[in-house]
Amino acid sequence: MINSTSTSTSSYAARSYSSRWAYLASRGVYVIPWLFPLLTAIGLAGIILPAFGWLPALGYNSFSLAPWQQLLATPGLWTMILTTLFTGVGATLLSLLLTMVFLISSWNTRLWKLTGRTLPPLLAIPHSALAIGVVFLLSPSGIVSRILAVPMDWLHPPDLLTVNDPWGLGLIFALVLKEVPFLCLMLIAAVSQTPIERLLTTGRSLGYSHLQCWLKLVWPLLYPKIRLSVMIVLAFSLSVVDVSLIIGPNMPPLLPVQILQWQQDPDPALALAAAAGALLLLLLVGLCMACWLQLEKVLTSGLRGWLTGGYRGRSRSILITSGRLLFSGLLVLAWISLIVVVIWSFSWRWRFPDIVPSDISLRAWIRFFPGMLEPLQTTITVALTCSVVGVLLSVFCLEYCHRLSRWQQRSIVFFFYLPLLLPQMSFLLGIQTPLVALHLDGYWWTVAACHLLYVFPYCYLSLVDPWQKYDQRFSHAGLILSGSRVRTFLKVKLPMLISPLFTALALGVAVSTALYLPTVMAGAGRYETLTTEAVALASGGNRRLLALYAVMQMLVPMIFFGLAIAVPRLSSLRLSSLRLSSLRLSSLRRNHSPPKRSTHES
Amino acid sequence: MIKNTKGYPLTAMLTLLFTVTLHADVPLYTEHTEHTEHTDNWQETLNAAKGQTVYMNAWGGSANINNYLHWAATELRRRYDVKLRHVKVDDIAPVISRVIAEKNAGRNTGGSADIIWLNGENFRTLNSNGLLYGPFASRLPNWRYIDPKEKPTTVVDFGEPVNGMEVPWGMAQLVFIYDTALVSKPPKTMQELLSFSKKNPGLFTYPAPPDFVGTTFLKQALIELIANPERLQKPVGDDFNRVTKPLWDYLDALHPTLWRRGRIFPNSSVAMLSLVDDGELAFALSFNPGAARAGINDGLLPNTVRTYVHKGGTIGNSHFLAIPYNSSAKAAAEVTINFLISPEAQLRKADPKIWGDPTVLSASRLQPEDQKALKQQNAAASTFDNKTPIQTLTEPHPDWVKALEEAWLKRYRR
Repeated sequence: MINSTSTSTSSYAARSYSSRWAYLASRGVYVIPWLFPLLTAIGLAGIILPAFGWLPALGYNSFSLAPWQQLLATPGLWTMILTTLFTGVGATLLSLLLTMVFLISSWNTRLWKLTGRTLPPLLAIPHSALAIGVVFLLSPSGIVSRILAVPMDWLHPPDLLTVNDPWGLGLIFALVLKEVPFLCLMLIAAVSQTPIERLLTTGRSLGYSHLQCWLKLVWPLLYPKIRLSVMIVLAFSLSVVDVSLIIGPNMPPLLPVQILQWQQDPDPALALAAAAGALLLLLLVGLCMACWLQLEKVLTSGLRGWLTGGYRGRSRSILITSGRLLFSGLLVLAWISLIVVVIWSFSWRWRFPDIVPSDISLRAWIRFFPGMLEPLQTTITVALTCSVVGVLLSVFCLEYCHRLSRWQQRSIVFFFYLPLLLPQMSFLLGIQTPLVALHLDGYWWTVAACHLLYVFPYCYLSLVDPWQKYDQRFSHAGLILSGSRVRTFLKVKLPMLISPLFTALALGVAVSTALYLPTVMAGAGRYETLTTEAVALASGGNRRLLALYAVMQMLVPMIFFGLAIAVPRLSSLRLSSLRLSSLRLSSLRRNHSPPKRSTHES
Repeated sequence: MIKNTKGYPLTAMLTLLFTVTLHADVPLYTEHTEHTEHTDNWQETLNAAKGQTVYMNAWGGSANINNYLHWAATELRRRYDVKLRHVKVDDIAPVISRVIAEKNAGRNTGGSADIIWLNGENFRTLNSNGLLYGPFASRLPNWRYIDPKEKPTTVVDFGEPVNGMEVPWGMAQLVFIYDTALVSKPPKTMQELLSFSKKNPGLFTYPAPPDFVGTTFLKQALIELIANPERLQKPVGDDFNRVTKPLWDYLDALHPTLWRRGRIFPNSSVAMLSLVDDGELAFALSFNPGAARAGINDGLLPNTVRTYVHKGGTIGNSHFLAIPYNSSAKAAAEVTINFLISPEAQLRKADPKIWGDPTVLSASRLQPEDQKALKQQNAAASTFDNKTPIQTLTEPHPDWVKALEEAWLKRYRR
């Protein structure tokens, strides 16, 4: 009533505008539960139909079992399947185990805090760049063997199978290096939601040893919170293509790589075999997940006696120390391999067994950088577009999805994560088949849309938590003062959530930069990103050039993460100095300290 | 695209007409006067090409080649207003399958590839299915610098007459590179190679087929090991097992003596270069006689490496550029190819500091100053031990490629 008439009309206009907007959006939200299942159905049809011989785009118009016969006649098929299972399950198990070791041995220590700070950049680095680093580290002419060369008196690199080995051990190592940080970060988030201190105190007061407390009290509470991430890791490890091309077995290759090779073969009959292979891979991944979940149940019931048996355990500090050493050793190796990549990009001559390059120069950068501009541009434009769209979509879903029924909400979240839980090779092959049939492949926006399938879930995942922790009372206050939902959202809620929003953007960029298959499958070979270039170069012989691409692969996400930290700070500075309402806002913000951080510091 | 569809059917028909009469004359190319009749047509092509974008699908695994094409793109843009985009592929086969898929899907215009770098099997697949545009080779002004008599592989691709459906871009021959710091006297036959490798295990290997250098190594071994190599000029028949038995016996004996005991193989011939640089291998294979010099210049190889070929010679061929039938920028593709076979572009390509790929042009047809430059380049580039001209063996019938690759995978992939 104190308002003048002019402001009241403008607020009325805003309200009607906002209500129309909100109405449309609220209608739009009902499309979402159907969008993703539709996409999944298309993806499934895109591999199931060709797997049984029906692919009109290539002139196959009748159903048959020929693709399966061709698949089964592949030399070394069983080796391929077994190695794929071994590396995928092995990498997941090892990563989970190491994550557990990390938690138990270093919770609330200096290492824990250091890890929380050093892991995000490590996580932002594309898998392929890290795999290249591991090759530079572990191959017979790599850094480890150069260091050993003097004491072992090696004049030439040893004739050892350390990378591209038939068992895929090098691949497992590279995957573990990349997945442990991911699981650890998920675990750190889960820990912040669990009253660990209390559980430990209770356990100790009952006389349980440190280790027993963790295993019997804390872990059973924590594990369900990271189960989804473990499943994502499992699906990823079983169907990874780019890392496998760089460091995996090649005689025979792993099943997903073989599928890609079939798909790219000029013989159209092999396109059908690729579909059959993709279906097989899908079944394998499904089977592994089912077995994993079943094993969990069996373990839970089988270990019940042990859990409740009252065995207190003895203190084994040696275990804790060695766990800590193991974990920090792993982190150090990951960082060393990345540093070696940087050194290679600046070296012109670096022969075995020199530990440092004999000729350090900028020549590689000067010579090859101009050729890199185009893939760099594609990488950044695709990544930025996807992550902006991904964040906008996530915000939309977070704002409106609560209007849906609980059942719909749950199915939405499930389908969001589906691209991450399905083997990439199978899902993308299924999406590509209709794309090719409709001549939609080979466009920039198709590539970006395929990236979005993988970028969006991560953006959403990273925003769920801040959105839930946001205190609705700020918005209520804003609504009372402005009378407009849109203005409240833009002026109160968004500025308060600016930091997580920028982090989600940077995360989206990092995810998109790392993607290999979506670019290859949807781009019809016309679009190259830093990652597709690096993977292609990995089969060549020029390590400087390869290192150069790997360095750029690392720089892009790092720069965006840097911006994600810097921009909200700058904008909040401007906000507080320019706006009149800033006083109220900043005081609100000071009071609003996220509970996540407070437990962190406790 | 609109520009293209307007001017194109006419020139295409004229080209067709011209080449039909040319074929009636039998000698593929004789007089320079034929060219002048076409300057007008060529001017039309140049006009039509203006502003078009050419997607050139070419192997992108070598920085030198990529840089060379980057240079070509800059020049083409400056001189002819043609935008050349190098689509880097790690294998050309997917591109071939894409053209086939486009044909099956009825995408007869606006295809995704405008120039394909290919030869042998891939050319035969596209040509026999009518998926190539042409013949167009002889209407390119720079075609006059090519002498099929001097370089027969410029008009015959793996035994298949080219008939102007593709244009030779460079010459290739299987060569062996070795490090004189590790090996004093390199083996000059397949049998010598086996006994050398038995004595010095782990120093030799070859790229895993279906890498084309790997497959060429198999063909080379087959030619040297069987009594009747002429058999390979005809298609594969029922006698495949009998004919190839000496090869498998040889490889069964050779593999345990190879690098990593033959359990894994390098993915490509260029990957062998860094293994030689590390001292893991003493030998590398290449299809480019200038590879050793280029590798030394690029810091990829020690300057102790030399090049040799086997006593009876090694397999050689040409690699070609072709235009798919559904290309959306045929005029610009022709302008690009014509530029790439110009003396200027070819000399630059043959420069080991740039790429080191031997030219398809004949010295006798070049201008005196170009001739001189070529001669100097050859002298500087050579890393061959002796200066005697090396013998070139003709490629087996293209049928053998697939048969050998499949048999190899069946035997050695466990």
